[in-house]
Amino acid sequence: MAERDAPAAEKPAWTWSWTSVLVRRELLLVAVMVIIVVLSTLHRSYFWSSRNISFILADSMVITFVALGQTFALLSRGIDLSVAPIMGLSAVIVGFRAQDHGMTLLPAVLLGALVGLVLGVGNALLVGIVRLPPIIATLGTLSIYGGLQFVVTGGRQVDHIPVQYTDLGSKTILPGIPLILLVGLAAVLITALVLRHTVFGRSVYATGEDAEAAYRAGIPVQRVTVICYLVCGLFAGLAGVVYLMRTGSAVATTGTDTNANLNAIAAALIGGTALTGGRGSALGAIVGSVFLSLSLSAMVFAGIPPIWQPAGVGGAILLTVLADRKARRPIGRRIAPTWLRLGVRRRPA
Amino acid sequence: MTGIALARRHRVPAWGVTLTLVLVAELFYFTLTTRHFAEGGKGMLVLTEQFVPTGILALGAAAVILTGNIDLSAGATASLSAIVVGSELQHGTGMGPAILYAIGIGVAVGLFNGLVVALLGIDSLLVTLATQFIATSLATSIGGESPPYNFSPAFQRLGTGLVGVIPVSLLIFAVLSVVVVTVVTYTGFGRALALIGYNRSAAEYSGIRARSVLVSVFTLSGSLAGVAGVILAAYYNSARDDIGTTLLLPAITCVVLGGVDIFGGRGRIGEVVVAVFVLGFLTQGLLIQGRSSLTATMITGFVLIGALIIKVSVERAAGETLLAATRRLVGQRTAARRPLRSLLDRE
Amino acid sequence: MSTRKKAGKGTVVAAGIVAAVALVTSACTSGANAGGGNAPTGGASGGGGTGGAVVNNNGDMTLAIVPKLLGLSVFEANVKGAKQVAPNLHMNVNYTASVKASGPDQANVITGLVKSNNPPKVIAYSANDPTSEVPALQAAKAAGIKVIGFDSDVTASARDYFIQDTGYPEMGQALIDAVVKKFGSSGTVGILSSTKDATIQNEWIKAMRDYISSKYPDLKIGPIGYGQSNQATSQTQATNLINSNPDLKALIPIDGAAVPGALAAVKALGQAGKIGVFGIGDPNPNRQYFADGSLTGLFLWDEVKQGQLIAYVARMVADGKMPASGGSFTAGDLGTFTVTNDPAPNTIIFSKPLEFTKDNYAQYDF
Repeated sequence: MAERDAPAAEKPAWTWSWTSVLVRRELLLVAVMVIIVVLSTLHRSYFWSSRNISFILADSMVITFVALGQTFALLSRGIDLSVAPIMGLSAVIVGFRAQDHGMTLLPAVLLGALVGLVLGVGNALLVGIVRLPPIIATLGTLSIYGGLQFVVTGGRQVDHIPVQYTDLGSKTILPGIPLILLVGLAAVLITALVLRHTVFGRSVYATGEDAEAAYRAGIPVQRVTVICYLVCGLFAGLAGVVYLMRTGSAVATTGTDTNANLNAIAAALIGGTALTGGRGSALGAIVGSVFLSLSLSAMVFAGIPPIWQPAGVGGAILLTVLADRKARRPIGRRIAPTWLRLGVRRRPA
Repeated sequence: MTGIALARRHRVPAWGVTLTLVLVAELFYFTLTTRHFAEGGKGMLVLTEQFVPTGILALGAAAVILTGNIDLSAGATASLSAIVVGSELQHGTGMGPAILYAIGIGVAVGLFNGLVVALLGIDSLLVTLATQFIATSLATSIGGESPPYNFSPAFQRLGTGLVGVIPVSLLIFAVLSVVVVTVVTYTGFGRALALIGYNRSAAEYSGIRARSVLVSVFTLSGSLAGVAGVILAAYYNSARDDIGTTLLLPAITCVVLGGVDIFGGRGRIGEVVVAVFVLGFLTQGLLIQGRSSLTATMITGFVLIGALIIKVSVERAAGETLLAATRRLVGQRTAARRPLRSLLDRE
Repeated sequence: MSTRKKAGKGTVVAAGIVAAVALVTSACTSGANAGGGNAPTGGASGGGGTGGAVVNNNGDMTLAIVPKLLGLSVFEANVKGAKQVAPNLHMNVNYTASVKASGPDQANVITGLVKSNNPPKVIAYSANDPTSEVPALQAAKAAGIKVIGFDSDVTASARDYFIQDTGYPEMGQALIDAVVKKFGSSGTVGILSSTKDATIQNEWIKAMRDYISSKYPDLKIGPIGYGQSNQATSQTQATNLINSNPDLKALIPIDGAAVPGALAAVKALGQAGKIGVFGIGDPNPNRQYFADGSLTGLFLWDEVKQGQLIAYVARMVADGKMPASGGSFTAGDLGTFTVTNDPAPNTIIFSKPLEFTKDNYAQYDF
């Protein structure tokens, strides 16, 4: 293709390491977070304490899981607005079984994943097979699943699940490292491996990048899309179980009351995943979530009145995206060619 | 109109006609089954007062979505505008200036959104997400512990008054709809919207000043949100910091039901207006029928999905292959990202 | 092309499934509306003319209870109480609410009730905010429907009577007294509320401040956090508050969702017992915390009995038998109540603050 020749002719300034381009946004975020931590600690020394840091990390885990799933949807140039009630339904269903029938952790995780998967089927069918635009399909399922959550809850609520759940949600394994963070990191690692090193993962990037080209190249675009939404639902289901572990509760409005879908999309976007597909990473999901959690905590420590905290988060999002020129529309700018963004190592010509 | 975007002209008016038929059927059904729905037509008109603000937001959202962007801050801007008009009225400012301040705030927010999206090139979803948070904070802080309420009867007329049998707010919505539809359909600016959404670089190379069009359309969305906020404050005779925020998703639902392509480039505002009435009367009618809010929400979700399935399958049956659809959807993005390169290659 | 054919068949099947599911859902949900259902008014559908409320000749009436949100346990308890005494009062209880905790949505539900084929005789609401529902309630009154409020009020002119949960000064005192009893009369306490403009919460905060300034000047109310009426946000805010104020003696969550959030935060930080939690909320979500000592004080009122009172007042208002301000009335075996004008016109104070302790919480199920 024509563009392959262009870099050679222009003596590219790109490095050869496939990680550099992909990781740059995450590094920027980490740098900003370090600055925030340093400033906050200078202001109040107990910001840098094992209990505060471990809390910030643990609190971001619910959104991390939702954002991981959302990454798949975004990478395929779609979106999933129904993750909030999927997470809520999973939390409610698993929570009731745990509270009424004493279900243990492993079956709980499996059930949560299953609930998410089943609900994800709705989205997968509508977007992958019927080919509805994702925003419309998931707007519809948002209302439907949201209502379903009320029906399933039936006026009750989850409020006394076995203590093993909340222990996993709050205990730390080392000072400052919560157990649940390890679970989250494991999920990120698996997702990153799938996205970068499997054919399916590459297909997701290719589909989001240019669906027609991917189709012509023989990639089963429809199947890839279907699986993306199934995975998105699955992660939202897992997020529901993590929510149970963190809060020990679930009600009919869980998920939608904390705007989990918007926060997850924000986390993924902040972490570098592009709305238009084809660009993003699993690492970005967790870094974005931790960034949000950290910003909120820093604002409370700084004594910013609660009503201004949303504005603070908004400002942080703007500043971060401003600082990263890659997020901007490349009007007239040179941008990395496709092969670089897909992570394929370029062999010498 | 958007001549470039349409492959088959006969397809587009079909959806408008379909929506109108659905609306008529719906009105018939509700009139027959509930005593107080129509009340000789007057009741039906009064019902529109409840969803006119959503409709106004939908007008602005549709214009923005035509360009391939989105304005998530419209709802929060409406809330902010409602709070501003409310607190100005409470401090004794005259009705006229208060309304101007409120709409002015909407313009300011829209202008900010437009400048950041057009000049800094940041994705509109992120920008408007951030502005949504900022507008919410502003609204909460101005509203304080005791947000304003109980305004003068003259002001309330904007939301609940009648001119003959027609609600004032419905008239305002009608005027705004006509204006927006005319601008989008018949002016260069309006055609530019869809062109930018369809293929931005092609639009730019045709001489369209994409940046100024984008700034204008976001400002339009913001000012419409400002108007919606004023009407909300008048209708509820009070202003809360979340009065408009909950209307955003319904407004976008109206836009997509109205057939506007979410990736931009295709759609008719007139059909969005019909969609506003379809969804508005649907919710009101279901509630009056005695169904719970729960049922109404779920049925709305089904209606949205069902309607779009029908629309998509009709379009597909009209002959557009999957490939062509995909090409249309991705072609603009692919070309847009490599404008200079493609030019250079040709040379 | 085969893809097109597949897509065509697929969409027809999908559309069919969607339509079928939609029909089934609307049938199911209208029947299973969280326990209340849109129960038609007993034998009263024949009565009533144009738009007025429906009363049959044997006195049957419908009471519509419209709380803030569907599915909240405290309101479910209210409805349970109302339904317990409804048969004796020749009353049907219709429980309906919005699925979003927003004033405009609640106003929508109320308007739907007013315009329905069989409007209720009395509407009892617990308002999401004091102003957005006013036009809808005034329209209800204009249509001949009686309007009573409970728990959370609107501007007085829009309703006939209001059942206030408990006196604001009494609740403030109960909380502060509990704090002082456990931790002494000096130090800093934090408050976790729901939103900045929540009327009852603000009244309680004001009551606490007044009580402190008059009786315990060395006690300080430090930071106030807002949990947005959901547990996850309350928990996050509580943790951040505790972490940023290491000398905090106690946290006072004054919203039903904030209490378990604050407790979970305290427990996760390992501060159970060291930082007190004195809250206003219902006992069910907090049962586990009575045992481990982290919940040092919990106050509310008997929601089920409050529901009964709502039913009694509704019946009396419908019959025109409610006394004017200054008068008193008896409500079954709940006792005697007085109608006052303090703090708002036509207010009935339901009860004194009820304290839940590990000895008595088991008797209550809400």
